[in-house]
Amino acid sequence: MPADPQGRDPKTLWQDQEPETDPVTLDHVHNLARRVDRKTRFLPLAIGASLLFVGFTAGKVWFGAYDPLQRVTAVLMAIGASATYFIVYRMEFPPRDPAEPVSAYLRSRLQRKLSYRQGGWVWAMLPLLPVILIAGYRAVSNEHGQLWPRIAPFAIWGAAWVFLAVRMRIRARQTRAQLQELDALLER
Amino acid sequence: MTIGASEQDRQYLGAVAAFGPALDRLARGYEADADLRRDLKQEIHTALWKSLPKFNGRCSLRTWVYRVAHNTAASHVLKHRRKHAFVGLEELEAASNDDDPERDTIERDAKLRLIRLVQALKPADRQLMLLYLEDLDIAGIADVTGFSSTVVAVKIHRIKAVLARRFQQGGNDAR
Repeated sequence: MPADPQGRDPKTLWQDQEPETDPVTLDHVHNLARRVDRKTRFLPLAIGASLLFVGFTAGKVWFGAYDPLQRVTAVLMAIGASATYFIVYRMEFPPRDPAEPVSAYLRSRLQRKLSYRQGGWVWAMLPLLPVILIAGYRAVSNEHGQLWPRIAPFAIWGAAWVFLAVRMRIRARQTRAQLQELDALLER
Repeated sequence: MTIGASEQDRQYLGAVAAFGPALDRLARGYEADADLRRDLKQEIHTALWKSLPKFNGRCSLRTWVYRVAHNTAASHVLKHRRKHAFVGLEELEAASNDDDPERDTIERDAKLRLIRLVQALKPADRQLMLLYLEDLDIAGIADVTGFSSTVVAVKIHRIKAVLARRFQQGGNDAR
């Protein structure tokens, strides 16, 4: 085994480090675990509240509708938003084994990131597309007022979509490189 | 398997008694910043405590503890990505070993050089280096990481070469 100038091998050097001065106590671990659990519980609550809001808005549109297309919009909005929440939740919080082999853990994280960046984000947004298209159609076909103010929100939305697509492509390339490196180690 | 809170605590305390110092060193190998290191250490301990009810004895407690700790630390590294790039063992092996007197003066301490060398490595190489330094054998490292024994053996060979050059000859640390 190689030795340092003082004659100690790297393993001994490494294992001989001074212990940390701030040990983690069991009480501290309990507190931290409670905090983590609170955060975990908060997310389904936040999703539930958002779905309630979507349901309320869809209900308002339904009962205030003066033509069948508006009622269709309300239904599509409720279904689309619920589906988007469900897809995002599944993407962000997949079931996970805390002690799976390190390489598998790293790979699943990178793979999840890659599929999201390669197009998963589009799938998550897709259920909302029918509502957006109908709203866009109504805005364009509405003959009151000037056209530009009516379609401006959709133009901004389109630009944001293009920006997001380009950004995701660049990030997907970086993630793919990391994944290929890991796969080379795993001899895949 | 469902176990009571006190059983979970007992298992946790047993694991920390056996591997606590190794977890400290692992956190040091992953995080140079003292505040972030404290956070990482707490995250590792919390993840370990939370994971223990799922421990079913299919692997050894040592493998379990190292897997949970390395997985938590890898997430930490991916979350707190630094501006500088990490280097791989191959690059370290190929890098020139020119002395930098100023750097050597500042970093005479071999331990510090070793810690810096570990912290500069890419996550996968770092895991292998850390487990090697903790004196796990090839089978043990393969078990924790999931890499094949052949890959681990090749990497360990490189690790030994890098450490030999840097610690036998008193060379530079990784940049």
